[in-house]
Amino acid sequence: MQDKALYSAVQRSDEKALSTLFDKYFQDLCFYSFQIIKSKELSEEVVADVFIKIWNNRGKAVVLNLKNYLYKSVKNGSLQAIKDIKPRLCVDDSYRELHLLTIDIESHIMEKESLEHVIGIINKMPVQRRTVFELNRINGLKYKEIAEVMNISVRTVQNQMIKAVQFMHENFSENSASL
Amino acid sequence: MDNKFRELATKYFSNETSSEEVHLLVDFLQSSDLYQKWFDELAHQWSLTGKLSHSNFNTVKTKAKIAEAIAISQKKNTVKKLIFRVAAMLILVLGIGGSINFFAFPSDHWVEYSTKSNQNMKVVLPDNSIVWLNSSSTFSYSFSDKSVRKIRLDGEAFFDVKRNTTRPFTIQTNHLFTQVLGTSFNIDSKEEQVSVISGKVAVTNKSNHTVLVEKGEQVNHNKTSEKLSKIIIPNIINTIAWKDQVFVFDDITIKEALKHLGKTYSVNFTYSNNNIEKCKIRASFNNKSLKNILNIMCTSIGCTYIINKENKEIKIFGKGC
Repeated sequence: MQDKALYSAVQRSDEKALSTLFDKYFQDLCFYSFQIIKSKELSEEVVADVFIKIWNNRGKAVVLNLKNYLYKSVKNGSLQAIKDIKPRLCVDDSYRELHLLTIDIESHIMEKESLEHVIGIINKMPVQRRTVFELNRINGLKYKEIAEVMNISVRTVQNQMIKAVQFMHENFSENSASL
Repeated sequence: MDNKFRELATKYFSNETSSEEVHLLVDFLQSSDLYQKWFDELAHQWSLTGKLSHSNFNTVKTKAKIAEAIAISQKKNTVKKLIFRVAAMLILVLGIGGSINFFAFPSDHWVEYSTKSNQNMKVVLPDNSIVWLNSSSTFSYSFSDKSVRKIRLDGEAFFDVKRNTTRPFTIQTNHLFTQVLGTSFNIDSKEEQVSVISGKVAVTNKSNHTVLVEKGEQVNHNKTSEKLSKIIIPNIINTIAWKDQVFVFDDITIKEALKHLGKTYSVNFTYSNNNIEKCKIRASFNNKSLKNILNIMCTSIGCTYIINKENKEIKIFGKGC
């Protein structure tokens, strides 16, 4: 079902529709929040609060572009969370391993080394470039959507993507002898 | 590398090119082999990044939190909602992905989990028993009956059951019915096989033939004779290697060892020479990659191997023993 139909069902107090939307976006939104907060628990909380807010405001507010709204709310919520907890914020120990995982069991075996290498390269990218690249490649957002969420121009998104691909190519080839 | 070419290739990979840009890219590729080579390298790296994910966030815990907030905001604590909230708080899922019917409970109170072909999942049940679900498997549980813990399974799973002598834990698969009080064991419903890692379980088939299976033993169901047969498996821990990639090979033949590796990593092994199968090995591996394990094994028995990625076949070469 499309987001629009699901959202209007939520406005009619359909809990199941909220649940479906949650299933569709939860992991990707947490991942995005995690890039900002660097804490697994807090990112889950931020995302939960966004869905609770959508539910509680279902009679009062109308959201036009749901995906955009979700990402933006998660971004704002994450930034607010950082402000609130800054004095005690420390980077999660599990940060590196939690950050990216290989999903495909076959490639996990055959290409484990190459994939670990790729994760290492992505982790070395400057923050904005990495966020753009991951939003496109892992979360599946279009350039235009990334631009809206991150408040940057489509041109900047495109440039960062080109640089990310270049960065990957340079670092990958450098060590390709060992692969 | 040319800037324009890099831009076109990047846009092409992320599906942002116009048709004119695709034409331009093709022109580049046709103009020189070097562009073709770069393009192939970029495409390979791009496809590698497509195999990354991040699903490691706790869906059920967060869902329970939202459900509770919603229930409170509605101030209508119907019985259904109360049950729902209690259940929501009791269940904790640690595995990745899968589909969980949660917000809307089925009327007969079965909760179902399933995995795709490339996933494993760990589920902690309300009684603190733990289930590891192998790929392409489905399992569901119903704990609404106070005298018995009911499980249905299609596929393969490892169970670590919390002991409760007054409330047996039962697993129904297509042909087998397994009953336990508290123990750990593996069930593969495709092979119709139950392997016991610790404790004791009772397995019954449809013609009411029951056998008691103890630690280190495996029971197999023969479809044609409708009989259950019990065998002792040395190093039975290897039957659950799919769960955490731990292998213990205690003086067993290469043939046996590769059987376990093949099953865990979904690959087939062939030999250049049947004598290789007879070599014996004593080694243990904890969460190593397949290549790593093969390198070590080959060093000890003097063999080499070639991986054929397309049909997932690995051929072993060597003199043998």
